[in-house]
Amino acid sequence: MRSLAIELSIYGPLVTVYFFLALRYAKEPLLQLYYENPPLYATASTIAIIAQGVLLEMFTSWLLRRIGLR
Amino acid sequence: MEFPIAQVIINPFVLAGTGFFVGVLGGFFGVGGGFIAGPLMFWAGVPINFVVGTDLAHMTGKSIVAGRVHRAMGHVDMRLAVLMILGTIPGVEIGAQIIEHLKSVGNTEEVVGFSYVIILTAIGLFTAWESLRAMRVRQTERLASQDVISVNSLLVRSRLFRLPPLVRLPVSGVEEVSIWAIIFVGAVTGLLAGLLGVGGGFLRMPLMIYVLGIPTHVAVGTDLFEIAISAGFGTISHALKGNVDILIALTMQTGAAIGAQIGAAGTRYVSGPSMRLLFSILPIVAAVLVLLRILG
Repeated sequence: MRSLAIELSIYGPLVTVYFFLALRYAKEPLLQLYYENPPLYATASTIAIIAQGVLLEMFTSWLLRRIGLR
Repeated sequence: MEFPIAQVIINPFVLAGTGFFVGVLGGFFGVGGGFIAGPLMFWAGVPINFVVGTDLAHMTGKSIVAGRVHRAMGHVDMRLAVLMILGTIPGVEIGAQIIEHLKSVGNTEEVVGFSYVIILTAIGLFTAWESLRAMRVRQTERLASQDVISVNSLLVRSRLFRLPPLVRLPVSGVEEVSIWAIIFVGAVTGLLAGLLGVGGGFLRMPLMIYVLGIPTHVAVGTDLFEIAISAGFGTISHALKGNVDILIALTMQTGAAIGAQIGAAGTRYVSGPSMRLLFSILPIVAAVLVLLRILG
């Protein structure tokens, strides 16, 4: 529970800032790709979701090691 | 906030919270959580074809994260996973083609919605019944709690299904099982993934346990590996057909990343039958959510 609370308090604000920035800057290019180039949109979507998943997991693990909980 | 691809307005914190919740479920039960996330998105007003595609996209990243954690814990049977993919990929594509046909006919929402309700209710009831029986067996015979499976007749029957070629699964402790049985499990769950936008874990996990005889903890890890493959393929297929709003998926994933780690760590403290009993509640809840949206 201590691990969860610390992780949430650090990770939560950082992720909030990240997704507002990502949504703001990625919205237009992705919308354009969606209508104009579906194969590229499919590729970009798959790469984006995998990359974000791996990076978030690495970041969380690093954070836990850094604060001595793993 | 407006999500212009699916053309809906949803609070991004609700999406991140939903992601966190399904992330915990994914890590704990070895399911992608699509059967909960899908109904929640549908309930929030996302069109059903976007629910299917976006749910698969969200699960792709999340299941990779949770799968890595389980693999590090030795809970993934790679031989079983690779064989199952042979059935999963064609199954996903058939499901995606059915969605395209339903879109052209114009009754996607009803067909997919009622399919959700029927399948989720059946899975929930069966798993609850079985895990309660298994817990009674454990109390009377004092077997190892992680390996108690009460539906022995189903297990024995499937093991008797010895259509060659047969394969050994040493990581799972299975002496011999037909490759066709493994491919069949992959194909059925792949079809559901493509049709309903779920990873298929809520069906694949019971099938692996009851039909193939895989121990619960290995089934959890192997299932996450399968979800990553089937959801990844389904994402590409549905994105090409215009059914994926990647912005919704990315927002949900921010919450799922942390939830998956917490869920995976929780499997160390709960026995197999207890885990399955908890699991049985979720499909029923999801079925009620879908039913409310269809009737509403």
